[in-house]
Amino acid sequence: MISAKHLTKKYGDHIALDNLTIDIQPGEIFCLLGQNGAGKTTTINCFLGFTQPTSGQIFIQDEDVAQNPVSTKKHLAYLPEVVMLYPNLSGLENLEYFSRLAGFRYERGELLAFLEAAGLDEQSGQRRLSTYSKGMRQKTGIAIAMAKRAKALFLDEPTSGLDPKASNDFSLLLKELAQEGVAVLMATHDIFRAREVATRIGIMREGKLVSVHQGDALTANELEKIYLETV
Amino acid sequence: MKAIIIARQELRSIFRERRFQAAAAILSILFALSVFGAWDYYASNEKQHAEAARTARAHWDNQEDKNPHSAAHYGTFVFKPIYPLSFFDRGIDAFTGNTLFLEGHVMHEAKHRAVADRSELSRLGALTPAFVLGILFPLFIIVLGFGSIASERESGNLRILLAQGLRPAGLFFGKSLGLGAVALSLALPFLLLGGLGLAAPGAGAEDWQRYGLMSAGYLIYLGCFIHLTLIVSAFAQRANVALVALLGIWIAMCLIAPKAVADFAAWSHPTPSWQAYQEALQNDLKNGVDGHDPSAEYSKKLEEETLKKHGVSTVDSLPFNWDGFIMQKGEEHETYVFQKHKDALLAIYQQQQNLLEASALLSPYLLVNLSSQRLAGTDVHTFHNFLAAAEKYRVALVGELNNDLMLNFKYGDWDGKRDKAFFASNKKFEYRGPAFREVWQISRPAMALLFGWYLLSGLLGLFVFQRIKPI
Repeated sequence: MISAKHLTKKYGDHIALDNLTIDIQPGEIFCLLGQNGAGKTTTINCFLGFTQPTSGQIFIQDEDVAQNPVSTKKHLAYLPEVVMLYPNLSGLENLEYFSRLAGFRYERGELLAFLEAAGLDEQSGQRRLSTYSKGMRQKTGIAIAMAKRAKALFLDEPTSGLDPKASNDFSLLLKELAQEGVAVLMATHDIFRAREVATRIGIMREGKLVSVHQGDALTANELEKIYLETV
Repeated sequence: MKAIIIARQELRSIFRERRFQAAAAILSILFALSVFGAWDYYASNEKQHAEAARTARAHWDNQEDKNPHSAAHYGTFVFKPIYPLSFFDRGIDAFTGNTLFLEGHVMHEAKHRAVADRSELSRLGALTPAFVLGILFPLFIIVLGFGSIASERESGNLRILLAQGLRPAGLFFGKSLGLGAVALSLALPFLLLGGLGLAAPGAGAEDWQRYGLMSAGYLIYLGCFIHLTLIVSAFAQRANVALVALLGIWIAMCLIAPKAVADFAAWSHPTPSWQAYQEALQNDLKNGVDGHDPSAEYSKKLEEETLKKHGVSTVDSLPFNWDGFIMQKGEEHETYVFQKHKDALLAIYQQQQNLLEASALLSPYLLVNLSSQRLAGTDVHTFHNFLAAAEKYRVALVGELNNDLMLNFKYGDWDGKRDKAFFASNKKFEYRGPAFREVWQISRPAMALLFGWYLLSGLLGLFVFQRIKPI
């Protein structure tokens, strides 16, 4: 579903990604752990076609991203670390706009259901985004990603700014999506959250995928120990 | 399809912004003021000119009984008509004289330039609808559009937009359509309001045609600025950088380019000073020109030829009044000399004008300005058309008077007089200005180039958007 083969990205002498190979099956949640600058965001940017890799290949649902930058987007949804959206529009209007751009025309009830699933009630959905907290904006972003009904989900620090309750709800939501066969690639700093939701956890350092672990094979403490030893 | 979704969103988002509401309010007030002020200018000037023209003719008709050639010295005034559309774009009207004194022997310059009565500040330009649409409106577009891509990039929205599977072309068309709709939402009421100004003084069908073309020109012009705004916004890493760059472009295109181009034209094709011009003219009048003898020798030779032709020995035996004949011949010679110098000067102006038109490519403002002035009848071409018609009339009127002296008066009878009935029957100055066909013909190149600017900036926009960086 989501796969990268020998992915390398160089900025002059600096190597941002070094021969990264990854393969995520439908229903799998793959968490990337690593310090800032380890290459997590660069990996996601390559999958989105925002960054051209120096070498290597990327596939989403067996389609080459470099060759089909627009059509591969049909299969994916993306949630960035910071979700700003349009402050002059309500949550509902933002969701409707981005969905229509992706080619979906939802009824009001369907839109509200997406917001509800992401943790926003109807009343909040009708307020303009300029009145939202960071967490509420993040939830709107989650609703936008879900409304795309994508087979591949790319999340860049999705839980930053969410309170523990919302963060937990988000984990449950991710597991639901995975059960429906969605492949998830998530970059995060949150070791505890990663261990809880991840099928597999990859630890990155200086552009390399140093080790990969089964999520349910480790306790959070063990994972933290491995992480600290790696970075 | 995606483009329309984006355009709708852009429109909705901008309409809800305070920035839009404030800028639209200011622009509307300025435009209303400009239409009112301009209409007032037109109404009062048109009345004044028409009245002055009637008075001048009445003076001619009712002058004291006098010899026809004395009447040629008495002279008369003609006035450049004020066209209905001059309320919209005053063009060079303030800088050219709008009245001309016509008399025998001399070709006068147009006098009474409006700027001579004004302070230095007025050179910045009057608040006309053309000024608001040509200079201020682009600022409005820049203020609303500088962030249309740069801000989306800063906020991260651009990443989400592109992740939704949006094509760069769709984004460009959507954004330009959206900004275009915002601009139209203000520009169309403006143009309709301007049309009301045209309806009031009772303009003809041709004026409406001209106004329609002018309006189209301004809309294409605003389209050029929308493209430029999007290109810079897509290029700039940050919105504030885009704003500064766009203001720089606006200053260069709307404020510096007109001045620089005019200065360059005057520098590369200098006109002689007034003194040098007059000196050369007087010199030619006195000493003869182009194989023509000086006046004294010329009239002596002409006298011999004429006497020989009619087989008489003295001028008083000629079948016509020699004085009238020689006056007309002298007039023709003087007109020839004046025209020769005038033509040489006009040729320099034409060279300057050609350069100006060629360099108008640099800035869509120059192009819209050029076509707008031409369509409004406040351009150089229309002014020279008036001067030529006035000169033609002068030659005809003086010729009519000299002819009367030659055929109907005895030689040496300088006391013979004509009365009011005769003067009232003299040729009248009937001038309507160049026809629409002619005006359209000379406005067309600038309009075509403006449209070319619009298309090319659009293509450049598409090109830049293909390479848009969401991060």
